Amino acid sequence: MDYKILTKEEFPEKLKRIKNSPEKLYYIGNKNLLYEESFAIVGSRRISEYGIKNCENFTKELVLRNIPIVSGMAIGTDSIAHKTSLEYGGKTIAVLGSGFENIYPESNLELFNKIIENKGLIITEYEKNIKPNKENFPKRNRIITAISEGVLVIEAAYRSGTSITARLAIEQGKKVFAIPGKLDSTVGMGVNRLIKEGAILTTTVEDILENYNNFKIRIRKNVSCKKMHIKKEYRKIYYLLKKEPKYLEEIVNELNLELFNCIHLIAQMQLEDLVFQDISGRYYIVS
Amino acid sequence: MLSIVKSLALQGLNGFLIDVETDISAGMPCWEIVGLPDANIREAKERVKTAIKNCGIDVLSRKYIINLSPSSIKKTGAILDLAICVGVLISMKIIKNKDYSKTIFVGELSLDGSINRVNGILPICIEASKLGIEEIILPKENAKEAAIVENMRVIGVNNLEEVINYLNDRTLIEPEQIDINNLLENAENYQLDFSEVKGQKLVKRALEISATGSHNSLLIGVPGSGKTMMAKRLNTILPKLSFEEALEITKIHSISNNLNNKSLINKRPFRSPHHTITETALIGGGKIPKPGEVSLAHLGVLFLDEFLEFNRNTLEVLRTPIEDKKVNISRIEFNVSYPSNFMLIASMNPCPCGYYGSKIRECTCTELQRKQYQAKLSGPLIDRFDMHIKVPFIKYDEILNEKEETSEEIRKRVNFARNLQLERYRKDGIYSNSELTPNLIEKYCILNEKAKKVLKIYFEKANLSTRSYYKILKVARSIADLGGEEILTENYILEAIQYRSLDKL
Repeated sequence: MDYKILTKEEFPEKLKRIKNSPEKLYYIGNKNLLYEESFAIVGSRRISEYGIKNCENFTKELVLRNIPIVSGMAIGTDSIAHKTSLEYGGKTIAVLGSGFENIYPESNLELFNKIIENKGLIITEYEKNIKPNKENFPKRNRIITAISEGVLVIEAAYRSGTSITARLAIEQGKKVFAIPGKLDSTVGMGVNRLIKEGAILTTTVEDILENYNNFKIRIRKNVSCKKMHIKKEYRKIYYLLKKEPKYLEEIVNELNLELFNCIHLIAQMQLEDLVFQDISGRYYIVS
Repeated sequence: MLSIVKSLALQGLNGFLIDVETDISAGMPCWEIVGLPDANIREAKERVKTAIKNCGIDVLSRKYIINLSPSSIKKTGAILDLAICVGVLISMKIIKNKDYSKTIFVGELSLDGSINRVNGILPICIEASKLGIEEIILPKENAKEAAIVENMRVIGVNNLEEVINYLNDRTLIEPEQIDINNLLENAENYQLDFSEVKGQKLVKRALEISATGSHNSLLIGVPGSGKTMMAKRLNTILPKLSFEEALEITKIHSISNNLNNKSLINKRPFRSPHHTITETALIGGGKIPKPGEVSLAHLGVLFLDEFLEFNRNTLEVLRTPIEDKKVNISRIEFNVSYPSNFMLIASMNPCPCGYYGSKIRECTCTELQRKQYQAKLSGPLIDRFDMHIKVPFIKYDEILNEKEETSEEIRKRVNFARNLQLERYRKDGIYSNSELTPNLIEKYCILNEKAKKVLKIYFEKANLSTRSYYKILKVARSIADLGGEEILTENYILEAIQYRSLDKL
């Protein structure tokens, strides 16, 4: 893998400033992103459906305002943040917890390449042969928070890496935003505690924007957002599933459709790649 | 004096007539049983000796030679006790010596002279009838089971005294009679019924299709969604048993001592072995090979709950019985073969913790864990199933009062579609859609233009293997049969695709 080295002298001011700042960074891609004002989105690897929806929405809103998204390329929240950002034509920075020869998780190799293709940036403080050790991940979080203007926490368990990231951000004087979690969900407890402890309760993207003057004045980029035409007969099902993935039986009951009619419709939608069925049997809208 | 009486030995489901030849002569007093007996039969001499003595008959010190012929067959178990005892008594001139060539004796002796039940009476009786035997003398407890066989005088006896009196024409024992029609009539009282399952229309529909074409199916759903409940009711919608089928089932269960005093098993079996089951217990085996779960599920349902928890090797051995519909077990001296034509229904959770997709409890697995779990399903395991059925967990508060279809109503439709299949495949030597070979699929699964198009799109999108392609067609064939149509239209294909959702994972 063709990586370059960024010495401490070349670091942006925000990265030099933090305590235990890395000596040098290895990077692939567009290093100029480091000098832009970016924003971090972090959260649990075990993200719930509620979390996925929020993560996608907030990432999209920030990307449409031309704000680079920083995250850690782990599974769960990180991957979703990167992917959504790419989907809407945004630039994104991934901070790895391992060397370039040990991309982790391997399943994200495709994402890795896509980030680079789309003028994104991937950085790590670790040499190429360093394995993804457990202790590396909390450490790289200080870089995530250092290079971004603020951190949005999607979901976090009560004691988790995400909570560590939030603490680091506060130590570095960054603002922490948190989306309220579901009360009955394990990954909701952590964010709710953050809110109790003073993180900014975030329900819309405006809650973030109003804290940053520079973000606010940014003009919406003209992104060619996929506007697809949905056939008339699919619409009812499409909009129902857009809200929440559902079992076929639920679709039939909620829309009062005839069973066979519904089976045939949803099968056709599957053929047209509008929906897919996961192993639990629920149908999702393909995003 | 020399006497010859007959008995019968089983190897698997095949029977062999055994001649029990007894000779009592003067000489050094001894009891000798020759002709390849096993330890159990060699012990018979003690039981026979004592039983005769306890009937008040003196056993004189003579030279007793008992030969079991043909000597090339290994004889096992205590079922020859009665034959040996009768042979000895004839030689002792206690019992009249007449023509016993059309009679067999089966039963185990107690020391007090009573005659105890033995296993496998039904296959013994059927085989005996085939070999030209007209009368069987057997333990009273087994009499009902044997009475099913036509053209056979079944004489049930309780103890040795009755046997002696009967054979000496001092008492008359009425042959056991049984009303076969009555037995089959009563058959249809399953305790379970599909109407007890609320909602789950789609799953019921899927099970109806799988019953129609005898398709092996995998049920996937969160705990409590009703997978087991519905699987248990599957045999209530399978076509009614014919008498021949009932006999076949009873034969196997007779060998395994599984009859519980019933004379005929008149319901389709439902077997659900635990996931710790061994390979031998599943497909059958042992020193004297016994039928395994796959054979006990013959003509019924084999349900493997928590499918992924089963040992990989155990599942591996399932392959042959599924494909050949029988199990061959080889031993040095002989081979036995048990039929195993069953429907395989398996169930599993969608993820390791089980709750992925549940509305009441949150799934605690990571994406990676879920992927690893699904990866377990790959290749040979998933190939066993024609249909993948997702069982949602849905609360049914509002529609609790809605009337659900009974098993009987569903079965009517299944029967209708099965008859179509029997008619269609009469010349091809198969019985249901699940048995279709690629050649026969070309012949019988004719698609209209739209259906071809749909299938082509799906084939390219999902990157299907040829095997999945054929499976879609087989399932679509069953759906069309339920609709009573010959040509497969696009709607049948579209529905079939819904039951193949794991193809794409």
